[in-house]
Amino acid sequence: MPTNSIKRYLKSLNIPLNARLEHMSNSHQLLNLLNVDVPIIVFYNQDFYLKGEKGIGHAAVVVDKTEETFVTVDAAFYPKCVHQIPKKVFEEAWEMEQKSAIIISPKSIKFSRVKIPSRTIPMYSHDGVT
Amino acid sequence: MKLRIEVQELDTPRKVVFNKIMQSYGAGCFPQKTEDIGEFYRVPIGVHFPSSVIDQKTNTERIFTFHFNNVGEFLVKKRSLKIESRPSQSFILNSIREKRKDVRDTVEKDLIKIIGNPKLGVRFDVLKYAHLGVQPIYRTITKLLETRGKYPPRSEVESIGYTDLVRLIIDIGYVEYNEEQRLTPTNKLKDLFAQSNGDALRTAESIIGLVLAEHYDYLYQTRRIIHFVPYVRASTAYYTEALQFGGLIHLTETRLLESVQKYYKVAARPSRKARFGHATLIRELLDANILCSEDNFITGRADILDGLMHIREDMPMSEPPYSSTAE
Repeated sequence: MPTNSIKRYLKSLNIPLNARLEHMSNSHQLLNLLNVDVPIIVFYNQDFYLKGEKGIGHAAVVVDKTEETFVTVDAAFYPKCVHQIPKKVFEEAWEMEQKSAIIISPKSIKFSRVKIPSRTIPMYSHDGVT
Repeated sequence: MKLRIEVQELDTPRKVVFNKIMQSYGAGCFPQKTEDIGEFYRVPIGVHFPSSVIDQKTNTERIFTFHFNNVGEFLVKKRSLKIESRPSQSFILNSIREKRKDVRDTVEKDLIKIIGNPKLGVRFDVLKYAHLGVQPIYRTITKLLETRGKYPPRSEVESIGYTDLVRLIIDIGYVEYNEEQRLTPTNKLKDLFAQSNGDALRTAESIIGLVLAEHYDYLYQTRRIIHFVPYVRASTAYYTEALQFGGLIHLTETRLLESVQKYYKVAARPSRKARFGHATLIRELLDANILCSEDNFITGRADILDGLMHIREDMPMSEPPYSSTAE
């Protein structure tokens, strides 16, 4: 479902929640959100996770973490919807979907976004020309 | 409460397009290889399109994902990385429909060739409505087989106004003009007549099947003989679903009608006349041995499906691991 549709739906419910689509820089950001009890809808490549080949993007809700895994709620694994994904494999599959996440949080939480460029800042070469 | 999060900067055309896709289209779409075209980046998008097939007898559903490339394209300004143009959702849906049409057309083409083979014993004579358009073929064959020795001269054949339909039978090699310019049956037709135990009507049915197999496009698109079309559409809809499923499935009449609507984009709610017509059409397809009936469900023939199975390997689809469910 497009993020815009989720936003519209939340608005129609008239409850104090915000939804935002973000492309995280790393999985530590997920841990930060879990620490303040904000579950995150993540998009990852489920075919890659299950079969090792690139396929369709898939959404799951990250609700908790352990040392080695992320705990997700995922309807694809019905009836055992609570599913643990090893962090290492998850990160690879998540990277394929540009580390996308939908954060649905109370309006009381304000976010300050720090943008990380995909390329490092060009270094000055020895003759002073970039 | 204030929370600091680190996010990726949208500093490549791919990321810009991906972000827009997620916002407006959903995770089914994905950006493909970026092209540099002067002032802009051109980013075509592909789509993963889910399609489910249900066997109603066993209540088993299988979900498949079709993968289609280049269903639309984004233009991203090089300087500002802003989106200059993007496809609308209806444009993407139309592109998907066109791509699915290609799959359906392949099945349709092969299906006609298979059912046209006389060895399959399809009874074209019971497809009553279909006969309207190809009566001249039927009459030509029966006349040639029943009035032996009195073969019509070319001038007489050309005067009846259906020369092009007769030419189709000449083209598949079952009749020819002899040295005296009379229309005569060839040895192929005589063999087929013998195989049909000297039954002229059954031989004519087989010829209709063979003409259809070779010249369906000509009859439908050039001559606009549309009487076969509903039969072909209903059969193609069934066998396309079965092909996706990977085996014969069982459907109700209503479900088959829905499949025809899905594959041919016909009216979602057909007129009352058409709905009555649908039941008759299905019954005739069952009588003709193109479809079969099992426990009040419509199913297909294994030999027809086997002949189509090679198409499945080339279908741009995959099956997700959670696909198969009993409802």
